[in-house]
Amino acid sequence: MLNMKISQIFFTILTLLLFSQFSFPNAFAYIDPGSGSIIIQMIIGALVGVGIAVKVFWFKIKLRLSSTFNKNDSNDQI
Amino acid sequence: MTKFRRERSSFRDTSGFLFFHEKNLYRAINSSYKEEYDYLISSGLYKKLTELHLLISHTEMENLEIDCNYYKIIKPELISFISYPYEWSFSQLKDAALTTLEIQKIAMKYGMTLKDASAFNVQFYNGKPIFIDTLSFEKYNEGQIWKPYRQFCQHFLAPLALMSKKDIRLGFLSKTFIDGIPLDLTAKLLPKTTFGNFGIAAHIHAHSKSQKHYENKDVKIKERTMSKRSFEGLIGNLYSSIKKMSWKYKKTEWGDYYSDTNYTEKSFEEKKKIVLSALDMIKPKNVWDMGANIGVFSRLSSSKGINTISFDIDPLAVEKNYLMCLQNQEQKILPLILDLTNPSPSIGWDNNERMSISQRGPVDAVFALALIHHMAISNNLPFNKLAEFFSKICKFLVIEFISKSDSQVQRLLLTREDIFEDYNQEHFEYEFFKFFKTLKSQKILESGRTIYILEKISSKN
Repeated sequence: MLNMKISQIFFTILTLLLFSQFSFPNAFAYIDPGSGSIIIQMIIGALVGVGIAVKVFWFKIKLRLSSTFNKNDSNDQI
Repeated sequence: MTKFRRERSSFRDTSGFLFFHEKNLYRAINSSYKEEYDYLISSGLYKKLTELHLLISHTEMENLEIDCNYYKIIKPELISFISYPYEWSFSQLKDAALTTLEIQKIAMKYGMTLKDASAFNVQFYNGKPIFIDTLSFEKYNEGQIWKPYRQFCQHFLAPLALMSKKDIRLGFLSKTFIDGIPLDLTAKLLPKTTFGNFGIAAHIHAHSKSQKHYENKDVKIKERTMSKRSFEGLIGNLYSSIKKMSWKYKKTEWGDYYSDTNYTEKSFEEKKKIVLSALDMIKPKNVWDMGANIGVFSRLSSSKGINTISFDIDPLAVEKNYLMCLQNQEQKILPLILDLTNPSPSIGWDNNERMSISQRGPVDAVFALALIHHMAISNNLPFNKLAEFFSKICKFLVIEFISKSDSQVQRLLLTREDIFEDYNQEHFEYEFFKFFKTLKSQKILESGRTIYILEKISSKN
């Protein structure tokens, strides 16, 4: 649940950044009516890619923590 | 050499083309596409996609030669009725979009990607969307972008977002914009609240801004790279964005028609029996049910294994019909949106790329049940025009005449002056019998309605 909230906040901040025009690099453009589509997909792809990495990272931490706590619990029981 | 006729819409793709020979449809694969086609087969992707019924299967033709430069000729499984995105309901377009993305995901696992994501590459076959362009695949090279991204957004995401977030009727814009709805227009039409939806904000609003920003920019690109993780992230995000979309429909004109008719249970069952007897009598190979609503009478035909197209003007009725097809796993019925007073025209290049509804006929049998009064009274269509139209599209016509005294007709006359002097059974018969002969006519008990089973008079007679 917490994981979902963090990812939602993360995506919302990044979406807002997209609209602030900071994210449109001039260096990649070329003469093609589709150049805007190419650049935006690279940006979105990167954002989503990072988002997935954060999710995976968070999931691993959660897994590690829960296994540690579970271990402690089982030790307590013994 | 074999004589052949090119299929009308097959001219843009440089990888090959479709052609007809002796009423069969074939696809010629150009030599330039040899490597990609061979990889599609050898990688196992073709086998996987056809096993999953996501891609149309084909047979390689060894003994067919045509007079042009090609690598191979294949014979794809034939789709009996071609439909277009502007005729699909919300869920049909959504399922077609998800099918395209599902194919893209699977293709990546086999080292390939789609180079084309047009909504016209999807058809409905045995009740489900299926990709029909075998030549839309290419090898995936690490670092490459998703080439059909803009096309996918315009063909699928834009109409789905407009239908879901603004108004279902905006889906009809796809008829005007044959290469998909422009994203700047979509962004303008969408409500501001869609900025809070990551999928729409990114793939439509930001996408449209990016297109505008780089319009006419004279800057050279050094490299176009996108990691595989980003590529897969993009596809995954498009998939989840579309998967989440829904249409929260309100009550429309005909959505609950069957709970709002003047049929008694007995007369409704009687009507069904007459339609079934018509099917037994004429034994059609295919049926078009015009004004089908949610497809009650279409199912009498499809349940007999007859390919049935269930047309209605109301997007909600078609949506309900399609959802019912999915629920019951029906394969022989295809619900589609069609306004009979303005049916799908022939559009595209040279007005000849996408077929009009008439060009997709003729069909063996047409059902026109509880329809004629709407055409004649609500739309001022004279009987002679209706009879002539039906004679062009079918061989057999199962048509219901509803007299002026019927409460449904009276309801139509409530808000308009009764200028329909010719709206009577005698005149109906006079005009229709110029084009058709009667096989059977029967009054429906307790209703004052009559069903005619008509056969087109051959032009030789």
